[in-house]
This record gives sequence, structure tokens and C-alpha cells, in this order.
Amino acid sequence: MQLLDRPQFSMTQLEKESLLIPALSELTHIHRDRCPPYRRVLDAIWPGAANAQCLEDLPFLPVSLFKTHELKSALQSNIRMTMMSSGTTGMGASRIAIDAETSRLQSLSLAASIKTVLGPQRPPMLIVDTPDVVRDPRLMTARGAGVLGMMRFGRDHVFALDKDMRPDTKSIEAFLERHAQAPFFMFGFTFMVWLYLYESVTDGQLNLENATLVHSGGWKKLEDRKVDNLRFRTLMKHRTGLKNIFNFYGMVEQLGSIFLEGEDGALYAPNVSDVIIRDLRTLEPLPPGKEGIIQVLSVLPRSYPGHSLLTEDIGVLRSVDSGAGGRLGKAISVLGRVPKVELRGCSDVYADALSARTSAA
Amino acid sequence: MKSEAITVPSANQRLRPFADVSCACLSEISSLMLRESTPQFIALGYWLRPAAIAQMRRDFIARTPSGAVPVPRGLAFHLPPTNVDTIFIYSWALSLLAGNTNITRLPSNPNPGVRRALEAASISLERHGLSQSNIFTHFPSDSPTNADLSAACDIRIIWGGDEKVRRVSALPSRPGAVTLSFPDRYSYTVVDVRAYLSLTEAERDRLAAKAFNDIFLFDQMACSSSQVIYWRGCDPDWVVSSDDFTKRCATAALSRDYQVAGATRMAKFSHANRAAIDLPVEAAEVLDPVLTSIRLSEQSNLRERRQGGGLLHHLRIENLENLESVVHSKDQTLTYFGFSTSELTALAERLNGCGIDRIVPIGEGLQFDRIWDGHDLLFSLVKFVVVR
Repeated sequence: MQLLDRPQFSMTQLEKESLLIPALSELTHIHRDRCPPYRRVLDAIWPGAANAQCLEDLPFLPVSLFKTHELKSALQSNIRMTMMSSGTTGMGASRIAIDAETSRLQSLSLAASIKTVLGPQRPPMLIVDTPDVVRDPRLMTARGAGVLGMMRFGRDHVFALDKDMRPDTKSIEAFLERHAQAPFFMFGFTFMVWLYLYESVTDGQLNLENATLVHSGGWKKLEDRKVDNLRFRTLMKHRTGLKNIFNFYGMVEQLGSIFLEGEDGALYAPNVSDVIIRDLRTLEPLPPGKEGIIQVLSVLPRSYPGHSLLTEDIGVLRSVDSGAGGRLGKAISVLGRVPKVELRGCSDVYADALSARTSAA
Repeated sequence: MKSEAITVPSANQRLRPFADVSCACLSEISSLMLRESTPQFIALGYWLRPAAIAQMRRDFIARTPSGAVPVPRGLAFHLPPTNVDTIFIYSWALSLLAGNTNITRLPSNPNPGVRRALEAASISLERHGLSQSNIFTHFPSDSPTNADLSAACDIRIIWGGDEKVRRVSALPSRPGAVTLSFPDRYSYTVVDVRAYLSLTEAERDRLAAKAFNDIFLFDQMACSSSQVIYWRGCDPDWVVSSDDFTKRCATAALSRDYQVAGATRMAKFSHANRAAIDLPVEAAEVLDPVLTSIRLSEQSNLRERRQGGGLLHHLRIENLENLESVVHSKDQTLTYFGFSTSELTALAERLNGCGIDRIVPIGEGLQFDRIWDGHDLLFSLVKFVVVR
């Protein structure tokens, strides 16, 4: 498909939309036919779904629906694997049914993204995780899927942690001994990279000058350490010489569609995806600069109705077709999750002072 | 909130029912509350005003059986709910009027509403010399104090949810002591379609303003908060009515600056999506910022699916008899519009205790009634000594 053939980030927003809108509409139809629960949602909530003229008119599901319901558009026999997210919101795990076609497309899209930072090579790879995370492919978690997916882009893989999640210093040193003088690839979750490649080592102990790090996972866990993207970069460079760093935003509900960091620090939508920021109260689409809930769209999900999802993340649209680093399309910043709230009673409501116009009960 | 060792009030600190000092104390709390701007405090102040207390006393005397002397039960142990700020004052006030000494267990981190009400009560109690016999304190729900007080008190009043009621009820009380429990309850509304459609625009807006109280106060989480509206009437009129009424309720909420937290907004959206899959949903309106509505084509068990924060289900019924098949012992308050008292009395008689303890007009859903969950609280808080 064109979206996968064209170089990543090379299409203007207008061009992207001319391809995405029909593709996403078609997916809405396909999933409507093949996934009865999805059909029920469309019939009840989105009566005008069939006539979407723009991205903003496409129906969207809350990601949490994948935690409570099994939503698939393929026969069980065609499902290759069921992804499970880590259930960080405490609600349990999302279950995502992947068939061969979806899996193939996910790999192609991911490859197109990683190619922009690694080039055509397949360099030696250091994985900042434990080998246990990819042990049983049938129990694939988001973390495991992430690692496994990335492993295809490297060779001579070495895991930086042992099965007890402790730095395998010998292996790390052996790896660097062999490969540190030439370009190599590193992948890990943000928090783990920080813990094991920064906090657990001293200045100059590791030479990561020639590394390209791709990481993801968010900054929430690093909040109490007061580490944000800027500090992460500055301090990592100082301690290890690491300078090629690429953060990305992705989720198990849309694997393969990663929003990769550009030279301006914003996260760019890949060709197969798009993003809309919506007002928290009204769910209306917001212009650049205004914070809201992130909605992600992707043409990859074929075996489950995950092509248009409202996440639980807050973000802001930074630019459209910025051209920074030669990249086009939309770019966002992710600001965190929607803060949890427990419905207690009237306290917060009344703190906002209902006026005395209200007649006393 | 202090949680040092509690000195249990002694028997001679009990008062006569409706003692002057008790009434004076409540009067002062009433004036303090009436100066507030928050509706729930104003409502409390109004309920405790001297004229209302005087009326309660007259009713009490009138209803006291002849040849019986009302006396306090003794020590009352109160465990109010966490989700409704002012309930603790209502039940405590009635117990004070009954002449009991009182110990109330409040949440460890009371929200601003509870704190404000507590401040007013403390000021007044201090001034009237009633602080030693009316203790407001905190101790953890697993503290041995719960068992000690359960064993020492003469009446125990446990407000929900079910889990808390179960846990505390399991603690032994003194033989002869009484336990009043108020577990999880569920409430809803019934509107007559023709009566609604014959209202003028202004009258409909006024009704919606009243319904705002029933739906949005306490973030729709109180046991009396309405979760469903049953429309008595036919197709397609009932859809016209429910859409119209919903819009006006949403407007009423917006104009009163009702705030929905981001996470609640997401929760309501998710709830509507789940409902669309699990229930016979005809249509769901999910884009309104304050009120999410779900229209169902068939009766469904909604009690386990409470969301709150401004989410209403709508269903059609042919007549009040249809409601009977829906009613459950968990159901507490039925708010209504467009029905006569005789129709509703007939309903209560037919239900004969199967459920629904109060049937009141729209707008009065959260008003605290002396008879709550079928208990005449004041009468439950006293004993009668027979003298012949």
C-alpha cells in the first residue's frame, strides 16, 4: 500500500489524509461487518459513521473497551496471537487479537520507522531488558512484543539484564568490547534505560558514543527523580557519551504505529497513522497548542477494530508539516495520563461553588 | 480530626427527648449553615431551623402512644457514609433530639464538606456544654475501637455500602442493643410523557432545574441519586420527551457550572460503549460535556452498572404496573412527575415492601426525610416506657 511504500514522514498532511480517510472508512465498514460488538457500538453511538468526510468524523472507541470485552474481526483459528498490555491503569490487561495480515503490516510499518534512525543496516543490538521478557510468545505482553519487534532490526543480540532484572555487567562489557567502536543499536523502556544505563553506572564506565537508542514508556516513573526528556538527554550524554536518542509513543492497541521523536523533540505520526487531540469535556477536536485527550488512528488493525481509539493520555498537537529534520505530517507531545479521580460525593463539585441561584432542596 | 482514646459518655449525660439545650444547640448550627453559599449546607440549615425542630417536636408528642414515656436509648454509635457529606449531621441531630449520647466515626481524611459541617457542630456543642457527650472522631475501620463501641452502645447506625454494613454488623453488640443499617440503595425517576409534553418551555426548564438536584448532587453517587428515568407513555412521544428533558437537564447543569473531572468524562464514555455491547441500547448520547444518556429498548439490570457523575439511562413503560417487575429490595427513592398521589399510593401498596421506600416529587430526591429507608429514625432512636 502507498502509505507503507512512501518514505516515512515524507507525505504532507493533506496527502496523508487523502489516503487515510478512505482506508479508515473502509476499516470501519469491515470491522462493522466482522465484529458484532463493534457493530452494536456503531449503531448505538455513531449513527453517521458511514459518511465520515474527514478524520474528525470517524467513530472512535475507548482503549479501555479492549480490557473488558473481546473485540475481534477474524475467526479464532486465524488469530496468530493475543497481545496483552501491562494493565498499568489497574483495570486489567487489554487483549488484542492479531492475525497474520495485521502482524505483517505491523512489522512493515515498524521497519519503515526504525529505518529512519538506523538506516538500511542491521547493527549489533543491546537490549535493556531481561531475556525472560520474550520467553513465551503465546503470553506476549506489550513489553515483550516491543522487544521482540525491535530485535528484528539488530543482530548479535545481547540482553543487558539477567533473569533477575539485575545488570549483567559481564555481558554488557563484553558486548561493548566487541561493538562499541562502530554504530550499534539499543532498545529499552525509558525507566529501565535510566535505571540500568545511568543510575547503575558511573561516568565514563560505559562508552555509548556510537549507539542509537530507541526508547519508549513515558516519563511518569521518572517523575520523582525529576527526569524529563531534556535532563535524560543531557545526563545520558554526559555519563555515557550517548547522543543519538529517539523516544517514541506507541501502544499495544496499535502495535507497529510508533510516533517517533524528531529533531525538534516532537513525536511524529508515521505514514500509517494519524492523531487528533480532543477537548476533555466536549470531545471536540482541538487546534495545535491546546491540551487534550489523544486519539490515535491507524490503518494497520485488520483483525480487531482498533483503527480509531481514544486513549487515556493527555497530549498536545505541536505542528503539522513542520519540515523539521525533513519530516511532515502531524507531531505531538505526550504530557501524561488523565489524572485518576474517585467519585466521592459532592466535595469537588461544591468547591467550584454552585451559585446560590440553586433553590435549596 | 483527633483520634486519641475516647472517653465514652456516661449514662447521666443523657438528656430528655427534645430537651431545650438540644434544640438550642441545633438552632445555632442551623444559623451557621444558613450563612453558607453551598446548597447542601443551606438545605441542612433549613432542615434544622427552629420552626422545623418545633414542628418535629409537636409531631413527636402527637405520635407518642398514650401512657408511654419516651426515653433515649442511651449511647448511639454512628458510622455515616463517605460519599454524602452532610448525612452524618442529620442522623446525629435526630439522635441528639432523642436524648442519646453520641459517638460518630468520621473518615480519616474528611473532605471540605464534612469539615465545614463538623466545624459548625463543634462550635455549637462547645457553647452548649455538649462536647463530652457528642463525640466526633476517627479511628480505622479495622481498629478494636469498633468492636468496643459496638459492644458498649445501645444503638448502632451503620450507613453503607453493603460491605461496611456486613463488616460492622458482624461485630457483636450488647444484648438488647439495636442496629439500624442503611446499605447500598438504588434510585430512579418516573415521568408521565403526556404530562411532560403538555408543559410550557419555562415549566420544562423549571422541572429540569429541580431534576438537577436529584441527578447531579453528590456526583450522582448518593443512594437517592436517580440513575434511570422511566417514561410512561408511547412511542415515539417518549423519545421526544426524553431527548427534550435530557437537553434541559444538561443545560441546567452547565448553567450551574457543574464540573466533570476528566477521568469521569472518560469513565462515562467507556460505560456507554460497554452498555452498547452488553445491553439493548437504542441510542447513546456521549458527546455532551456534562450529561451522558443511554436509551434502552428493554428492561435491563442496571443496578450493578452504576457510573455516576452525570449518566442517565432512559426506558419506556406502558404503565406503573410495569415498574413493579423492575423493583428490587435495593431500590430506595422513586422521584416522579405527572402522577397523582393516589396512583403512587396504590403502587406502594401493590409493592407491599418489595422495594422503594420513598416516592417523592422530582427535586426532592435528596431531601433527608425523617423516615429513611423505611425507618422512622427519630422513633428508632428512643424507647418507650409504659406507665399504667
